[in-house]
Amino acid sequence: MAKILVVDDSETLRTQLKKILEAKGHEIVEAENGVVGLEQFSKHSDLGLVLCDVNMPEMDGLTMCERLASDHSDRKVPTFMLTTESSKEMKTRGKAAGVMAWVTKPFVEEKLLKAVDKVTS
Amino acid sequence: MAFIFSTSTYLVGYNLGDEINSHLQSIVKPKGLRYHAVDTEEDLAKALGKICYLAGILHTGDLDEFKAQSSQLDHAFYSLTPSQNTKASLEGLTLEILTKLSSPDLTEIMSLSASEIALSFFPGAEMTFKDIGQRTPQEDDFDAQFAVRCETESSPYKGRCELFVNTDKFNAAHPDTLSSDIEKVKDALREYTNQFIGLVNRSFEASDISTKIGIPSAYTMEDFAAFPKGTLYIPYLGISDSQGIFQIYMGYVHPEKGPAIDLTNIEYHSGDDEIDFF
Repeated sequence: MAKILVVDDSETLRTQLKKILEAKGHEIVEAENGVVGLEQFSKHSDLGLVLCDVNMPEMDGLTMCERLASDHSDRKVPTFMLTTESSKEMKTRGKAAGVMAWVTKPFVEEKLLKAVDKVTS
Repeated sequence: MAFIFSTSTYLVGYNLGDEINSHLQSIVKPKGLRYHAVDTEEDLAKALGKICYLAGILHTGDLDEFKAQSSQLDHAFYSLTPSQNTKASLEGLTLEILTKLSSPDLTEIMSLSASEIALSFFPGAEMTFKDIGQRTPQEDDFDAQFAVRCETESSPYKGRCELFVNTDKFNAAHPDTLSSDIEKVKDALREYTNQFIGLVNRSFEASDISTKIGIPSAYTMEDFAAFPKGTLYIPYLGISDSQGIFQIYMGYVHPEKGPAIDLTNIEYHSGDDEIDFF
């Protein structure tokens, strides 16, 4: 089981993810935007996965991933973008920032859990 | 010359006379448009230089030379015949212009997207959305408690989505689904709108049209009424569910007075995708 950082400005989405991931035994750390996401990433050195939205106030998810890649290059924590955005340009930017997978909302719960298992087990 | 708002969409009248100008002024307002009247080609050129979003140019008289110099606007000119100068005829013509701009194929994608998201977002709340036609939220007396607004782009078109929800009806039909906390309801509706636009955009992306979504803002209707409306996008297309809980409107405009968005080859793309591992 892993400690997972969930970065999303929607409390509804964070609560939904927390419920399904905790049911599988994962521990959840929450952040409502990229700025708080960076803070939580620094604070928790034992993260096994980051799930991150793209469009958020204060700092968007792709910028946060770029900051993780440049400022925390010593920590290789798998990152999934979990977003309604599906443009090729954004996926390319995510890939360049070291994002491992792109999950487009609305997500299928079973598929997400399977992907989470793949990188955390 | 009257002040032109760079954020509004205009129907321009050339050489139409005071009576027709007055009719058009009253016809376009509820449609979310502004009307601008000019009497000379010089003023028409100045107005078109300032207007960002253009619905059309209604005119009488010979504009052939002007049109030849503005070939990129060929799609926008409508010549008014003498029999079309009644208010009823002008209303019909305005609707014809808006219908031509409105890409009715969008309503099918909107309806399927809203139905799919409702099912995944509000478990057990199966809803079927249907087209309610080319209209603007201002034309409806829909009884809503909350509204959400979000900008979107389908390059190069700029779009807007507005969602209205009657939460009293929702709670009666689907008890214990929405929180009683207003901020949590707003958060859920923001995310619903976000996912709805995301699914609409997936159909665009599948046709190689690049998209981008803004951050939705949710309001109680009291706050929404007091909030600046900003850009008036047209033409709005509306959908609603059969229980009258949701009304959702979308519209797109070309940022450089180009033709209407063409959706004829765009098909609905479901949200049931595989996860994309890089």
